[in-house]
Amino acid sequence: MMAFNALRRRDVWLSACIVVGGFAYAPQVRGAERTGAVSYTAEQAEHGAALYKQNCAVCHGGTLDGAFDTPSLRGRLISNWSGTTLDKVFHYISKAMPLFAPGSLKPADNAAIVAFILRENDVAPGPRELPSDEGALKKISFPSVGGKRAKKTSSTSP
Amino acid sequence: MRGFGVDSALGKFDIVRRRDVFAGSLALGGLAAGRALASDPIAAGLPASSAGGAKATGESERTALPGTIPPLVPIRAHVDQIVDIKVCLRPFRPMGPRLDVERIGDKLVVHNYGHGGSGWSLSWGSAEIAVGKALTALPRQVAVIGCGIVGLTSALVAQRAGLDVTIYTKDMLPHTRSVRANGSWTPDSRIALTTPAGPEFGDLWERMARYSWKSYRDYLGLPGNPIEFRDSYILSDKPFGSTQEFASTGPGDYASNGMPRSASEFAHYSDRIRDVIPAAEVIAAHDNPFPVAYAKREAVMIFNFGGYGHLLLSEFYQAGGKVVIREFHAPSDLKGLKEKVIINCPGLAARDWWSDKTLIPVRGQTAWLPPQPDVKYGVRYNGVSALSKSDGILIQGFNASGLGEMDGVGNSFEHADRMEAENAVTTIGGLFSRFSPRRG
Repeated sequence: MMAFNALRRRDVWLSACIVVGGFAYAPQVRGAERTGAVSYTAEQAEHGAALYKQNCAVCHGGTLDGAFDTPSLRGRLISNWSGTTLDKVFHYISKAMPLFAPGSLKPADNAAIVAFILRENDVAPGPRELPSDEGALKKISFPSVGGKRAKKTSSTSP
Repeated sequence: MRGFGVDSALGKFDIVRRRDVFAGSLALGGLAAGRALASDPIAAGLPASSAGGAKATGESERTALPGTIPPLVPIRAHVDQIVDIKVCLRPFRPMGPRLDVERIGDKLVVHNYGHGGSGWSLSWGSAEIAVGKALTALPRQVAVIGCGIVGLTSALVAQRAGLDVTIYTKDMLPHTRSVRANGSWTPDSRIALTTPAGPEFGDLWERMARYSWKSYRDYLGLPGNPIEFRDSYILSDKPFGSTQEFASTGPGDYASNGMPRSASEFAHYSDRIRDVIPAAEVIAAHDNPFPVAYAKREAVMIFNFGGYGHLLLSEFYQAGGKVVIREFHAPSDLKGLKEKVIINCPGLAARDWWSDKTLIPVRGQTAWLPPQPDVKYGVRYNGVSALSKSDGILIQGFNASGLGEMDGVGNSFEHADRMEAENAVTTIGGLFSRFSPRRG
C-alpha cells in the first residue's frame, strides 16, 4: 500500500515537474556558478573540526545547532549569508570570533573553520584548499541550496 | 513514510552526521545536580510515586521550608459541576516526531509532526528546527499546514526569521486537536519508544526541550497569564519511592507487533534537562495540609489554552500572517499552493493526508469544572490529577487502566467517556471532602 502510494505520487509529481520546467530544490548544496566554485580539502575541514571544538563549540554547540541565544551554524546560516561572497563570512569570523577572544585565530585556522562549516552544511570537498586571504575569497560565492538564489540577503538574523 | 525514499540530504544529514565529531562536547545536560525530576506525570501517565518519587540513585529530596505552604482554597470537585469533557488523540510516533525534509515535485516539504503527548512542550524547539531547514531553500514565503500548537509556533518562528507566512488549515482554534490536551509542561510524555527512536534522538529531544523552555519564559507574567507556573501537590497514602509495575497488553513488543505492549518501552529523557526544571520538594508531616500521609510539591509550568492560543494567533496576524481555510487529502494537493517551501504540521491528520502509518493515536480525556481563580495550585492523587487553569479546573485520570503510558495507545475513540470523567472527579472530590482548610 505504502509503495503503491509512493509510486503513484512520484509519477504525478515527476510529470508536474517536467511541465513546470524542471525547477526543483536540489537536496545537495551547490557551489557557486558565477565565480570560482567553492573548494576546500577534507584535511582542511578536519583541521577546522578540531579548531571548532576548541573555540566555537562552547557556544554554538557540538552539532553546530546553536542554542536559544546563539545562532545556528546550519540551516539559518545558509539564508543569513546567501548572496554574499566567502570573504564576508571569513572576515566576520576573523574579526568577531571567538566571542571571548575575537581575532585570536590565524587566517589559515579561520579558513579551516569556514571549510568545516561548509562541510557540515553539505558542501562537498574539492581538490583545492579554501584560501585564507580575503582577495581570493571575494571571488567565491557563498554556496546556496537549489538552482535559485534569493536576491535579498537575509537582513533578519535569528 | 520511508517508502517515499526521497528524504533529502538535509534530513539524512541531521540524523547521521552531526553527532559524530563532537559527542564529547555535549555533556552540558550532564552537569545537572542529582535532583528529582519535575516532569508532569499527568500526561506521562505515570503515577506520582514513580515520576516524582525518590530516585533509584538514593538521593534525598529537600524538604520544603516551613511556612511556605500558603492557605489553600479547596477544589470544588463534584460530578454535578462538570462543564465539559474533552477527548484528544495524541499523534504518537514510536521513532519520535517527524522532522525530515521531502521533495515533492517543485515543493520542499519540511515535516513537523508526531509529538505524542509533548507537542505543547516541545513546540518552539521543534519549530526552530523545522524553520532552520526551510531557510536553507532561501524562501521569501512559506506555507504552514495546520494551525494546532505546532503549526502556530512554526508560523511565528518563520515570521521572526523574516518570512511571509500563510497558514493553510482545515480548522482553527478551538477545533484543533491540540487544545484538547492537558496543557502542562510534559516534554517527554509519549514522545517516542526507546528502541525505535534510537540513542540519537535524546540529543535532538534535549535541543527541542531546552529551546522551548526558554521560549516560554517570554510569555510569563503577561495579562491573562497565557503561561504560568502552578504549585502541584503530589499526594500519596503510601510512602513515595515504591515503583509500580505496569501490566503488558500482550506478548512481544513494538518490534514484533508494530505496537508497543508495555509502558517500559516508552522513552524518557527529562533527566537531561533537570538542571533547569524545578525539583519536587518534600512537605514535612506537620506542614502537610492534605488528608494524606505523604505529600510533595513541585512547580509546574502550564499553558492556558484560551489566553495563549489567542495571543499566538494575534501575534501571527499582527506580523502580517494570513490564514486560509483549506483541507488537504493527498500530497498532490500541494500543487495548488503558491509557496514552494512548506512546513507540514498536521499532527495526527498526517496519518490520512500523508499516509503516515507510523502514527499511533493515543487517547486522552480531561474533564473540566468551572474556573476557581482563588485556587492557584493542582494536586495529583491516586492516578488522578486536578489543576486550576484560567479556563477551568482540569481533572484527568492518568492511570485508570494501570497500564501507565500504554493507557489509550491505539485507541482512537475520540468521544467522551462520562463514567471515566465522573470517576476522576469523584477521586478528587473525596480527597477534598476530608480536607480541612487552615485559616491563612
